[in-house]
Amino acid sequence: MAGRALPFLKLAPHVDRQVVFRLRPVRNALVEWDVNADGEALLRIPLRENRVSRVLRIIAPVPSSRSIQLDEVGTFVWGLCDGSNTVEGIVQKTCLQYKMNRREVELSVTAYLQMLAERNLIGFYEKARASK
Amino acid sequence: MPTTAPNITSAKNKTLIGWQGIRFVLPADWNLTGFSMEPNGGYLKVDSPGTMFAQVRWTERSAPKPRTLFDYTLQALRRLRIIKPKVMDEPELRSVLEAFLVDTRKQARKSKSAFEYRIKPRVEEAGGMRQAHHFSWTGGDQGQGKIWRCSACGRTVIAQIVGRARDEVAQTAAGFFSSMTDHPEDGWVTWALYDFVGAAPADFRLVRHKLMSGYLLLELERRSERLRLERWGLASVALKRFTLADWFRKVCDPPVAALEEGVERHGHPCVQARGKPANLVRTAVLWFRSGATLRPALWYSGCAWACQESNRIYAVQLWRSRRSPDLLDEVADRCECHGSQS
Repeated sequence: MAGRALPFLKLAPHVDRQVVFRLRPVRNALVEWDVNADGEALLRIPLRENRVSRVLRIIAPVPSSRSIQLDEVGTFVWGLCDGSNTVEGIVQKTCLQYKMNRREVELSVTAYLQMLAERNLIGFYEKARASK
Repeated sequence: MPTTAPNITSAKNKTLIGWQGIRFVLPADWNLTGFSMEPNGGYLKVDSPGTMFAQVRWTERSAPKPRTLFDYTLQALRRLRIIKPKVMDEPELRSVLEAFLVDTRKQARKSKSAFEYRIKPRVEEAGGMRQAHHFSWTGGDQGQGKIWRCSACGRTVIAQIVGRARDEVAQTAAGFFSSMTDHPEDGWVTWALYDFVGAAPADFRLVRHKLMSGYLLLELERRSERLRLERWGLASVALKRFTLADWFRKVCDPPVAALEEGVERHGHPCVQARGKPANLVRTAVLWFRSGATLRPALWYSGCAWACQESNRIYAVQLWRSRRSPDLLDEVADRCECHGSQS
């Protein structure tokens, strides 16, 4: 209640680590992607159509989508975000694939997934019920 | 003559932690999460993937800092051996331990649990070299630990394993304490963390470190000499577009132009470079970097090798003065690559 009235009092929700590791990341269906010969994915994210973009398009050529190039490890993790793998599963598969220490992978994979989620490229759901 | 160190982490289900002479073994999935770099002591925290963790805190035997002119005069006379060196007061282990347990009690009070502890009588261990008290406590969590003073190195060490009531604290603590050493036996300090195992002579001090995901750096110094131990992950990705020699030139930037190839380390092809920089600017930079001393560390020895089994690249670089021995081979041979995989 206090958080609603005074936003600076709003506490960050405490999320249990075990719960996060049970979540299943799934790619945004609007994002198109293909993998080049080097095994690196190129994501094409369609830009939102609104009045401003329509006006801008009359004045200057505005692309209809923007692209993001992922590196090899990023592509590997992106490929696993198909809704069938949990975060825990992705961490384990990345550990095996690149022979890295589990803690190193945990830190980098969770930060990467968080970044993808902030850009709305992926969402998370729990198998029992959709959470996001 | 370089010697090959025995593979100290040959047990696959164990992980070795080594820091400033403290060395111990814990289950494979435990990782270092906290440490300090104090001059007269240190602290280590190693977390399990669950709720257990290990803590080690140690203090070196050191004289109090001089405060008055009289103290400084005494210190100078002792250094000149005109008067006898001061005999250090030995810390009273039981009182140090009780102070530690009072702190633990304060933390347990937050969980509103009854705190109880038990201190066993003092025992002598390691052939009379250590005087130790074993202790255990319960209060919300539970802990099993030991405090001891080593007469060989003068360190006072307090170490414990902490876990929840359901955790196998006693079993983990038994393995932890049986493997614990508080000083190097052969004059080489083991530096081991995140599956990296390396070693450096005991008089090299850690001055810089970087512990990042996929990259680890430990930089040590002894007077003007500098030793860099580095490890990169994802070797298959890094070496996709470069040869190892190109990669070494680009990333490590050795001050010597000629690289020696066709050498093997730990069964892997290795590139190395030795010598003094021919470039005057680089020589001047190295001279200033080593404190503009009369014995500047201008002589460079460095090597790098890629381990396919562990998918990692290792690099050892040493800057030394002309008269200092070249430790490159011995340091590189003491680094473990695929043998340390857990």
